[in-house]
Amino acid sequence: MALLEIKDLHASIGDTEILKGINLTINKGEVHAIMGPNGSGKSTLSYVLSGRDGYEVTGGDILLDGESILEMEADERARAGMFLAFQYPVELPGVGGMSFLRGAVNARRRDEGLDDIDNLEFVKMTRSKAGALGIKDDMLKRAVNVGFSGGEKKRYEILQMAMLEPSMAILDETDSGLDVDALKIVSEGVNALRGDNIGMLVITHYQRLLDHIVPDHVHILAGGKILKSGDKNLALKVEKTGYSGFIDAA
Amino acid sequence: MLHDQLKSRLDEGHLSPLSATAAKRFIEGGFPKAQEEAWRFTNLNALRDRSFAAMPDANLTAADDLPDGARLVFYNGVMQGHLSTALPEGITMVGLADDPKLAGRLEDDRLAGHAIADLSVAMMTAGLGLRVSGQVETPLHLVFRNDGADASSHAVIVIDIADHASCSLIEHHHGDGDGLSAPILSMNLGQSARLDHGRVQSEDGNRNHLAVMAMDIAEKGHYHALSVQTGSALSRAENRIALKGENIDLTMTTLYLANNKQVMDVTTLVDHQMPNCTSRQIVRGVLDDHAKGIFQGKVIVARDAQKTDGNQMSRTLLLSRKCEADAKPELEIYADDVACSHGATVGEIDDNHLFYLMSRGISKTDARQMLIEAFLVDVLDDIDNDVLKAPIEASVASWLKALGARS
Repeated sequence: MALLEIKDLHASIGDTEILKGINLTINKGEVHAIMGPNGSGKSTLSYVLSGRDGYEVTGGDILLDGESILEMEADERARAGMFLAFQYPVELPGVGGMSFLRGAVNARRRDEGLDDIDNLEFVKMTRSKAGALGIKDDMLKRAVNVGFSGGEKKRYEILQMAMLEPSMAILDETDSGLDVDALKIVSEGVNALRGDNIGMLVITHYQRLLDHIVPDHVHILAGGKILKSGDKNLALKVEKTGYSGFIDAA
Repeated sequence: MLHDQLKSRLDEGHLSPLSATAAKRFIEGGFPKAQEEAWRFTNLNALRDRSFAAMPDANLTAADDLPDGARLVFYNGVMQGHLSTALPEGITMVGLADDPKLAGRLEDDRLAGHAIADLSVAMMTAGLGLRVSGQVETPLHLVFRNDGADASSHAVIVIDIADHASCSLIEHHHGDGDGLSAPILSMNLGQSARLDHGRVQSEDGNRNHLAVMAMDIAEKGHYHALSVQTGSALSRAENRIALKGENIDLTMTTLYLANNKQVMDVTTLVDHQMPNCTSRQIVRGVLDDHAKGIFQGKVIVARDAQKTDGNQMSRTLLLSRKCEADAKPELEIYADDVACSHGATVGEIDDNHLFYLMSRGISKTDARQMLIEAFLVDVLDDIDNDVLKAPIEASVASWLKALGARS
């Protein structure tokens, strides 16, 4: 059974249709990249998949582990294994980083019928995963994303992904705002999470991220539709010819 | 009616000269009317025809949940010696009748003529004076318990904190029934003196609570206040503060949390009379259901008060579309070399914030709760005085818990 199945998905914001029939199947262990120009519907796709309010699905279906998730709220989808690494992580003044992480971990555990995580175990786990991403203790103690640099915010997203162990991770423009060094750290963090039990959808405008997170499949999204699919070489082709070649051909 | 009750007590000659003067003023003016600018948003019409009565013989045999440590307990405005403890070293108590100098402070123009202050000074059973000298380490809790149908409570306390003295005072206002609480506090903070002042008002949702605090601060005085109101159908906490010397440092953090049809009013007057003083007011309100929140903050900077650094910021979080927030920040500046700012925002929970938390698996109810708490905790985090913080945090936590249970 496929991990994620997107079937003829149509979605609108208000009266404007943004996604115009997307078909995509992601199996466990696979990394798919979606590339596309600005306004192609990349971010909309990530929000519709993760259940953000304000988007109306007007047709098609999204199946996670064979079950439709269209009627599920964002939190239910997350507990079912969906994870979105934000393009612009949100600052939450007053929300302590550790209690936020603990709340997220425990929400998932409670759904699975487990007890809340032992506090000591939680702190140990957080520190070790944070350390691997170069996140310092004082950053963990601060309010969520408050005062973080662009690179720190992205690393913090990957930390959350590592803590929550999703089965389906969507990385929305994770490379935006990162310098070369930060891009390397973040990519290594993501690569460390790759494996047989997780599917990933990497959304990006530029090919450079895919040098670091090498995808199994690449899709070109434009005008709310997938125009072409291929392997990693497709991304290299985009880099050379730009998106216009694909759009004109379609 | 209070009006008639006062009139007969006045006519029978039962009142001290101080109370009699205040009574005459209240009898003439009565409760403030909505036409008065200071009471534009908080309507007292419902109080005018109520038959409130003071209980001069109020006696509370026992009380639960009294704070540990040094405390003075008042029941319906009357001090309860048997529930109170010895005062911390450095604080002495005196009846206002025996201390004309302290009593005279009630004639200060920030209190005399204020309808609610006049009412309580007229109705008070026995005003209480406290004198503070030296560095008092032990915090003093002032515990106010009120109950009974139509009972009115008029505690009047005058506190003098000597030059170079310091202390912590924490007020706890709790009560049941549908009565009126009108506690009056007059304080004088001497040169280089320091007061840390906490206040929790969590009276029953049917009561009426109208508090007035007036304070003078002398040179290099340091005043730090943290308060929360969650109780009463109608609640107003009014602070009238004069900065009468140079280099005064004042910080007031005020929280109010309201639901149902509660009306909650935070009114402050900070009067900068001398140069080089700093005043900082932070107000945070959370309103749910049909509640109404009011912030009126006036800062006056006199012509001589150059180099004043005065700011006030009010933020209100609306949890329902049916609540109302009124904010009236006012700056009246007569000096030309000052740094003053004010602002008032009213908003709802940010959808982006909510989605971020929910996308991590946190339920909508829990996410909302976390964000409301964050809105309040954000300002508490800056305060490092645990003695003040603990009761305020407990009050906020219990309000949030009740909110979570309802949603």
